[in-house]
Amino acid sequence: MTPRGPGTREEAFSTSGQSGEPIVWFRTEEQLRVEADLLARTLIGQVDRVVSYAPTTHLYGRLLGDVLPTSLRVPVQHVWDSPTTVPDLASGDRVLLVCLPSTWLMLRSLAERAANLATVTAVHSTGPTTPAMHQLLSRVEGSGFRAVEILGSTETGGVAHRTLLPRPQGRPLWTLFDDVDLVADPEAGPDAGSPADPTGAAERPLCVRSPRIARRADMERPPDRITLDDLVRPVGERRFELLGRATRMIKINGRRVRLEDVESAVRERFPHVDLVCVPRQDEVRAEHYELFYAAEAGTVTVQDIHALVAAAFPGVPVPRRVQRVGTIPRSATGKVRVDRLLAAAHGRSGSGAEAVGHVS
Amino acid sequence: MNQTTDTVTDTEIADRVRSALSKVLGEQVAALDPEQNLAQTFGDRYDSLAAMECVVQVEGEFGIEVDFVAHDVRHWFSSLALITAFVRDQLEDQALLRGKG
Repeated sequence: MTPRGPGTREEAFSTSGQSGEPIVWFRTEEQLRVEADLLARTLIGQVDRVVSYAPTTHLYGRLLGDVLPTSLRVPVQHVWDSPTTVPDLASGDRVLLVCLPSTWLMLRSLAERAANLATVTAVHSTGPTTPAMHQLLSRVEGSGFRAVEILGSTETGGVAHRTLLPRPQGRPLWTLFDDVDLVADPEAGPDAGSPADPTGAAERPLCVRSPRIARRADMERPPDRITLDDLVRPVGERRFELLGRATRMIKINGRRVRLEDVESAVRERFPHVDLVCVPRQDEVRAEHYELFYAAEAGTVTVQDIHALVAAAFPGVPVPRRVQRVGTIPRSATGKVRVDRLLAAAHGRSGSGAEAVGHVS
Repeated sequence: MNQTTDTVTDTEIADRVRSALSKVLGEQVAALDPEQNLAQTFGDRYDSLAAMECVVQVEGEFGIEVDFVAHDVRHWFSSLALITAFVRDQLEDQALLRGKG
């Protein structure tokens, strides 16, 4: 906690910048308290205890694992360093589970015991939902188990929320938190996505204004608005559809990885190597990536790539898989043909599998 | 000894476990001693989340579902030999249930 002027204390949270270096964002005690109260009021209600799988070094874990329980005066069990620890839900207490994408695989095992479960509110954030989450929700339908999802970032705090359903129809809409407004992205053109946009339904970057935006370390005060990496389509005044990412950024365990940065780092060290990073769904971490490269046998090994990425981006997960291939398939316009690449890499017939060379 | 579970032999289970784990831990798995401790061998690369990824791969390979309440996953997923024994037990249970059904 850092004092900043009379009566203002701030807490630091980090994100990774364009080239992997940390960017520090400061949040006041008041912002943290206001957000915890907002989450309790909007999503959680009264609980008797909290079990948190989210590290408190990140905003999400700090808010729901520390600030909110303190505000509600309820005990917390921190298990973020032990993701396979099964929570005790059989006591009849009202329990808040603070989940990461990986948590749902373990929670799925509780489904058979759903009849005896306490009243549980599970909060999901930091990444897309996983198949295990949908399995669990299907199995506990009708019990006292409910799940909600928060969309947010270190810079903005919580932006929007939605209830997680076992069998969602289409893309369930997100609802903005009370103190957040969807605003025009100043870099997206004068009228793009502004409230004056006559269609009101144009695809646009997720740009928000709120009193909970953090102050970047090099700024005197928090910015008026922040544009995130997400693309949305507004639906009415306070809701939107999340369409996907506007960039090639992915989040693994809450850590941001910009795939183009990883590619640049490898190219810089090995200029003769052609490569591509491919984002992949992951059943445990929700998102991950694989790296495919084309190089002459014996010149660059899988271990070389692993070591380079680990050294260039400390603390950032290395690719889930690194594989040398004969060529990186491209279209006539030079775009990587990910479909052909993955088909070849996974050895499916008729897809140029012979072009893939595993590195021993 | 090469016990059988329904029609699946221990050797086949062990081979398929290696194949499943190699998707998470790479080709180094192919040459691993079955008794070798995975956390000691792979260090940070075999953290809790990597172990859970191995659980997912093994579940997919054998059509089983690991029960985190009933089983100490950290113990059973600490070596190839233990994973193989775990899978064999699960397949035996499945076969038993099918027989009863």
